[in-house]
Amino acid sequence: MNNQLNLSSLVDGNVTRYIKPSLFSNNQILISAFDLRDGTPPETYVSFFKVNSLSQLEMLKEGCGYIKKRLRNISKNGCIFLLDISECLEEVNDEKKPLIEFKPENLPHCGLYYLTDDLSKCQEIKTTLAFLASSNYKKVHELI
Amino acid sequence: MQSIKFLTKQTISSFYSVKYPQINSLYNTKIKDIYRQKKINRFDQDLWNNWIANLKIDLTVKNIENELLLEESIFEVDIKLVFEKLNLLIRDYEKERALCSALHEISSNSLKNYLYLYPHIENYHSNLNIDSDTGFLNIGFSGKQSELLNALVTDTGEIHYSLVGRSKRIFKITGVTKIRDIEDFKQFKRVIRML
Repeated sequence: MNNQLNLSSLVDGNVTRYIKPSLFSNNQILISAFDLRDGTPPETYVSFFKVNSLSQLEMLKEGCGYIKKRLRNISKNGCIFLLDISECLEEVNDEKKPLIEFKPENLPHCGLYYLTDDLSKCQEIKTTLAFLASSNYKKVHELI
Repeated sequence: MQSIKFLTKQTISSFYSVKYPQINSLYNTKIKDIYRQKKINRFDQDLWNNWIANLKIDLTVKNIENELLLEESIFEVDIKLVFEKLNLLIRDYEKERALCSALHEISSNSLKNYLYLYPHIENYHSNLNIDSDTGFLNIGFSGKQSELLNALVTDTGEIHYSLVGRSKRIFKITGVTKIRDIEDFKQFKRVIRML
């Protein structure tokens, strides 16, 4: 487990992630959106795409474009949400040791890594990220 | 009529071992209305806990032909909804698990603990999901000021919860509820009242 953020970590910029419709309920992104569940074998990080457009809407559209290239079947009722990396790091890493970090994984693809496996801390991390994500998302059909 | 496809034969027999007349008398219309107005639990704690305690849940069976049929006269719509939600949730999760074996097996003890908790949280709007790292059920609640409260119901009596909201800045209240007796699951309402 790392005690400090890696030098190669991303510390600013914006990232987007696609979630299927079942991970969205009542205008809220569910915390399962931040589970490590992608791929076979499973990945050790939660996948995101770094985006560089100027406006929030353009960033969501840019993220949607990456997802469409990567995934064959994306649901139009799914969501794309946007997170500000520096805000996430500031709001989540509020203890002596960092709890999360973002690392490039062949940009624009990048990963969110958990640096703790404590259940309560993971619960807090995911709830914080879901809270932040729930204020900035669009349905896929609004972005196509 | 509703069905619960993830429950087994043993579950059916344990369900039918509960005495109908006792339950029916608890759910007649007048009592339901009074309970609704007073916003108190509509469940007989002992009957409910006893039923859950005797449930034998086998979530590993893929194609279960036997279905548990819930009579409308016995259970409230809410109860049928919770089983429908669970049924869908578990089927979706198992489908995904078939594609990605790394997803943790669903914890039947966590499921039971959720059911013990259910009568005490039914009046709150909530969503349900399965934590793929642990196989535990997670309940999400939303507050009026868009606060989020997530509670991970473990296979022991521990419930790991975290409330996140925004006041001047983002604030968090995180902790663990430790329940040692099934009758004390009602104490979790103290946590929900923070919303």
